[in-house]
Amino acid sequence: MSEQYRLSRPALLWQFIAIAVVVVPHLSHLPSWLLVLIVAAVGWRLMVHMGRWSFPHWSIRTLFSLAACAGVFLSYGGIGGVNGMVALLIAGFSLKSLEIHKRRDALLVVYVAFIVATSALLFDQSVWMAAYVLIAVQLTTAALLAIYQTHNVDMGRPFRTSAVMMMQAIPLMLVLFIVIPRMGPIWNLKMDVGSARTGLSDTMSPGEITNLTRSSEVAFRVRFEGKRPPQNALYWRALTYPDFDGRSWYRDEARERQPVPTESLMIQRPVLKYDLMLEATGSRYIPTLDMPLSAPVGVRLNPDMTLRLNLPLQKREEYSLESALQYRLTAQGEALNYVRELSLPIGNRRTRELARSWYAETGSGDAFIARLMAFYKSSFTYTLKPPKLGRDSIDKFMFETQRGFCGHFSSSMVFMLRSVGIPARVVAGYQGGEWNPYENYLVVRQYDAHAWVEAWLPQKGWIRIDPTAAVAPQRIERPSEELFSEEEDFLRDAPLGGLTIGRNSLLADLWLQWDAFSYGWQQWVVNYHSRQTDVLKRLLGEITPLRVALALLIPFAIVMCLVALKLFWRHWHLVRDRHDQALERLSQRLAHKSGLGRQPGETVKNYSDRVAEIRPDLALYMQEIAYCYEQMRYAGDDTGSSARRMLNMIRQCQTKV
Amino acid sequence: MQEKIDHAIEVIGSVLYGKERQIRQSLTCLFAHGHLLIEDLPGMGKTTLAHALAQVLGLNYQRVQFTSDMLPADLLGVTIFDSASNEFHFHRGPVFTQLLLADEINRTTPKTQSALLEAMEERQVSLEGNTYPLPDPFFVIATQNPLSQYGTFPLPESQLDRFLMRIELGYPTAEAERELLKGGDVRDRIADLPVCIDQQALREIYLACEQVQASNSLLDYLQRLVRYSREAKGFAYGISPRGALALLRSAKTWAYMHGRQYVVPEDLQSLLKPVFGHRLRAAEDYAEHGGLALVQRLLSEVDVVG
Repeated sequence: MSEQYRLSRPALLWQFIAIAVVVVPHLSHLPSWLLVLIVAAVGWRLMVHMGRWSFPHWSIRTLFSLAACAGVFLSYGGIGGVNGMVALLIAGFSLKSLEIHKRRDALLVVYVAFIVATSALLFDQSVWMAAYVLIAVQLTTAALLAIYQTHNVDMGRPFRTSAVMMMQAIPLMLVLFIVIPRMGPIWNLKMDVGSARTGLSDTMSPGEITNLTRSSEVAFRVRFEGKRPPQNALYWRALTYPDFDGRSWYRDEARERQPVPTESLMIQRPVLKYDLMLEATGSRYIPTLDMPLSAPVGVRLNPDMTLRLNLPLQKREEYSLESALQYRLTAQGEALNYVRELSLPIGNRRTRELARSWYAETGSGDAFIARLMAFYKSSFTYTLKPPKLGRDSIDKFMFETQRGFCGHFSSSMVFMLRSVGIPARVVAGYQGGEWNPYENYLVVRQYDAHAWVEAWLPQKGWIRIDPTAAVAPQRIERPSEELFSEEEDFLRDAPLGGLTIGRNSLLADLWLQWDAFSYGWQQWVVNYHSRQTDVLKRLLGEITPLRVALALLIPFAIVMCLVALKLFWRHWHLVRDRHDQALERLSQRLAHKSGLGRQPGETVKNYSDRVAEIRPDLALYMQEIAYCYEQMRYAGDDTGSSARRMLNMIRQCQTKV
Repeated sequence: MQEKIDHAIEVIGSVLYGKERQIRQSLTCLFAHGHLLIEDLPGMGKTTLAHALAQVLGLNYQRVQFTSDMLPADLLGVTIFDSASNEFHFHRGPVFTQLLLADEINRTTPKTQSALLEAMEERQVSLEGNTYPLPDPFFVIATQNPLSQYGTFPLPESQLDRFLMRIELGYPTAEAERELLKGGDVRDRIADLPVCIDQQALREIYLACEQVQASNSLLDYLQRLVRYSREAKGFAYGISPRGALALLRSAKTWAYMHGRQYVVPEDLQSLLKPVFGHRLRAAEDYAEHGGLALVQRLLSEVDVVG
């Protein structure tokens, strides 16, 4: 093994640092056996480096590699998913570290480390992760530099050099980020992250939404165009549940598949436009303000006017939506067309009887609903800790416990409505949200989850009824955290408990500012692709291939010019004066033509003698140059005549070369 | 004056064949009022050179063979009680001369070496409270055997620094050796050599050398050399300011001997080996032979042109 291919000690240490730094962000999703493998492989290499152990035999390495492949396959059920691929890469390069003895091996490890470092962004696109990846890339670059460091080997130099390189690269990175056109994904990555996210589910049992009230995770953020609607108008529809089995409510998946909305929507202007940034919840609904007008590209508009994605949402996405707050949604025909919205399971006889008797007393749908709301207001209590309900749950709730929250109220109200032949359904979504005054947007969290009722009346079409508003109007008028903060179950699972939210205004304020910052990051960096066209239009005036190319090239040219200027400055102004430069050029020319360059320790006179010996045709010039140089530099001739004569001679000599 | 110098070189060359460069260097050393150290194997003509120099410059001359049992008093002199006059009289030792040939200086103990070296530096001898000035001019030409030989006490760096130059004579060329073999005994002829440069001329040369110009470009080169020896790897330590001054002083004399009123880089380069050779040591050299290799690095790696 030749000397220059051997890996220096700092290079090896830098490799270990790079491996450690790029693996850390993946720790949360790697299986534990893989961590053991990484530590074992790096530890073994360390022992080799210290001279205690020797490199493992090839058969052992092969065994390890096969075992690692099999392990990844078993842990992830194949390597199709991103997690599996990343795990395989990590296993590969930590095992490769057992083979680092030449430069080539080290390069392989470093290149894979770059890929692993950036793959962390597939799982998390926050500011923190971006900053971390930037640092990881810098340290990996240091590892790369350390490999090529052949003399004056030390630990600090690659770090400093890579830091300088990063500083130089960041402006270009920004230019590339802003200008380079984005391509859509060529293939779809299967991410296995959505399994355990919070959010609304496809079924609703009364009581379920309490699970959400324990979570302060952000569900989505909304920025309105123009004025924001009042708090009590913020009903975010996500799902409707038409089917009831006596215990739980279900989505009607079959009817949602129908291609065309069967109902017609009439709206009253103005239309409210807003951008909704949905968190990666792993679910397929998009909450919309009651009532959405159309679906964005790639999203299905269901007959019940909810929006549905084709695939579970695996990363934050932003949608531009339109809604009308005043609308009339109805199908042609009669109430009996809504078979599904009228059907009820057997049981709960007392509730049915009550509903029928009231309907007989009041005589109309509107009056019946008003009676019902009054009943809720007078007899029921809003609580997040309702008592358990057994069989005939509606009966028990209506006549015995009378304590509950939105799920109970809406569920029982729909039951009552259907009992008297008014089509009705439970709607799940979110209500309200917290206004962020720093960046002027609305944050809606999982604890804002809510359920209400939509009922169809012949003249009005579908109308929204919220029994919870009757029982606990403050639930609708005020942000949830103010309302719930007395409830001990509220936010039980949130990391900082009730501390961040609610009464502690300083922390709440800080939180709002931070959320504003990360919202901006999300909007302008992660989702930049949706804004790129606007930004480029504003920057370039008009997007033509020529302008985009220039926008790319000009910053590059500027940077290159700066570098070139710096080099020229160093070369010509700090070291040599004009006469020495001329002499240097002559020497370079002679070196190029006849291999007669001046050596550093060679005096001008010795040099001219040497040239004269080999090139007698230049002898006279060279002697004259050497004489003039001596006069000018050493004999104290400051008249400038020998200097001029020398330049003249050099010029003549150069033409002869 | 240059003719006189050239003549002196020619005269010395008639007893020391084929060593013109070394003769010139040692004359330069003496003209610059420096002490000279000649290092070589026995029988290479060290004593001949020293003796011929004394003869040609018309200096009175003493030769001391240094041995391991020599005491400082043997060199400097002793105070003896004279019973006739009932007084103490100082009997001057061999050091009281214009040119002292200290033969095989590294055979004697450090005690005696330092007695000589003090005399060299101070140009006076202090004994028992009295100070006796040495004659003017006072030169020491010391010879030493290569350090690897048996029975040597190497001179420490601080004492080597007192010598302006250290030269090596080397084997003669084939022609020079044939001449030598034909010529018979040189010792008789040395005594007959004419005095070419008297003491008046010596003083004039010394003053004239002071007037030689050293331009800024030349001082730049000198400083680059010195800085390189201090900063580059492989050097145990750099050249001291005294070393830099020594090189400049000898280069001025060298330029004067070549009839120039200004110093050129070639002057520095010609004297780099004798002046810097014993002042440098390689970082990983414990036999102290690396000085000349380092000088070679200075010669080839330091750029002459700014």
